[in-house]
Order: sequence, then C-alpha cells, then structure tokens
Amino acid sequence: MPLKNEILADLSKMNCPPWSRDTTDYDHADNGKRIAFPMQDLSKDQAWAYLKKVLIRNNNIKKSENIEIEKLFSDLVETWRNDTAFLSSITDMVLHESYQRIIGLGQRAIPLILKELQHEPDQWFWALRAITGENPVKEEDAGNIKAMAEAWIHLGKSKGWL
Amino acid sequence: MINKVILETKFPKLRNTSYDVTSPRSEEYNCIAWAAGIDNQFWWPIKSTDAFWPIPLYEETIECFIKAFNQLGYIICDDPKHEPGCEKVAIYVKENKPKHMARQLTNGKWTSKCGKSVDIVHILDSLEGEIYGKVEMFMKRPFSKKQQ
Repeated sequence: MPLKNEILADLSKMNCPPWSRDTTDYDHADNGKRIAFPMQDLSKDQAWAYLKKVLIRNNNIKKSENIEIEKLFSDLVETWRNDTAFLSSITDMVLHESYQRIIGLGQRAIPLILKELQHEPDQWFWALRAITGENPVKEEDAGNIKAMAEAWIHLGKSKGWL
Repeated sequence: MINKVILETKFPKLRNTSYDVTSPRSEEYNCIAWAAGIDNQFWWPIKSTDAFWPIPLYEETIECFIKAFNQLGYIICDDPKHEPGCEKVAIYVKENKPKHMARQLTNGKWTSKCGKSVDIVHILDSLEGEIYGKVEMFMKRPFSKKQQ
C-alpha cells in the first residue's frame, strides 16, 4: 500500500476529523499560506511526526478559539445581566445588544447558554429557540423558568450539546 | 440580599424615602406576576412559551394589561388611595408601553418585584423614572377573605 494511503487508513481508524485527512494542504493556519504536503518524500515516521505536529497545533488553535468565545460570552452575559436586572419586559431583555451578540455567536453559544441555565436559570429561551430552531417547552410550562430550563437541559443532553 | 445603593442608583427616587427589601433576588417571576400574586412564573404578553399571559391577546399596550387584569377581577379605578377591603394595582408606563406593575398591600403600602431582582415595599411614586416611566393606571378588586 502506498505510504499516503497507509497513513490515511490509519487516520481513518483513529477516527480523525476529515480535515486531518487532507493530504494536500495541511498548513492552512500558517500565515494564510497553503503548503502542499509532499507525502511521497517522507518516511512513515516523518509523516507521522509531521501529522502529529499539525494535529496538536490545530487542536491548540481550536482550544484557544474556545477560550476566547467563553470569555466573550461571559462578558456579554455579565453586561446583559447588569443592564436588564430590573426589567420585566422580555422584549427589552432580548433586544439588548449583548443578548443579540450572544445569539450571533450561533451554535458555539448553545453549550455555554445551557451551562448558564444549569447554573442560574434566566431568560435564555428566546436565544436558544433562535439558534436551534427548536422549542422543547410544553405550553403548560409557559413562564415557569425552572421547568423551561429543565426541558432545555434535557434536550441539550439528548442532542449532545451538553 | 441586594445592596440598596444599586437599587437607589437605578431608582433615584427611592433615596430619602422609606422602603424595605422583602425578598432575595429571583429570576423565576417578574413584577406583573407579582402584581397578580404569583411568585413562580414569568408573566408578559408574548406569544411564546417564554412567559405566561392570562388572555389570548399579546400586545405591549396599556389596554392589553387592563384586559389581562380584568380577567383576574380588577376594574379601572381613579386613584391609588387606600380603600379598606380593596386590593389595587398600578401600571407604570414609559413611551406608551407598560414597563412595571405594583400591588397595594392591606396596610396601604405598595409591593413591587423589581424585574429579575428583589421584592420591595415602597411608596408608589418612588419607582418612577428612567426605567419604569410614570404611574398612569390604577385598577382594583375586592380583597379575598384569605388575603384580609
């Protein structure tokens, strides 16, 4: 079996993400350059060492992006809570800029919002519906914050968001 | 328990008036629910499961709030004066939209749930201002025997 196919087969067995099996352009994040990976010029050990480096680096980028999003989310939540603490209008709460920015984070915000609901239930239901397009809350639980939070946490677990 | 300085920053008229914080902070109910005597539900005229609303009319108007409280036995009255045997509620309005409600206690004082924050017992006009606007509507109903 050619080395390239051998490595691909191994990566496939390891359940690596599809991007890691891209055999032509590994260094997407290197200053925006796309560097062709010359598989045929490397021994298997060299190829593995290189792949490992790329995988670790990409994983670190992902981790660092997650940390940045968590920090941004946390700042937005704090601003939103402070500014809306004395409001009763759900419309005013969800139209707050920070709340809108949280919705703008899209799918990445779902686990963070669900963790907020677990920690301190609040009016996150509009955002969750807007992002996911789902609503697990029963009509008879309308306005019951605890029951609504439980319904969303249950859905989040079943969908793998939590 | 919330720092009174924060409350007085948000509601400057509370300064130099007599008021008491009577509950811990809670996101589980808001002022409209509290005016209706409920402390485990969020009330707002919104056509979704995000909040409860007692009538099938979902508008942020004084008329919609009046109809909702008509449903609970309240009728419009002229003023906030204490009437023995009657329970009154007041609607605070800003730019023609209801923003807050308070409920009169049997002793004539008023109780409010301040958004997602605390309950306070206060003078009616002490919550008027930038956040809730002004008190523009009063409604009343007989106190139930249980409440008396």
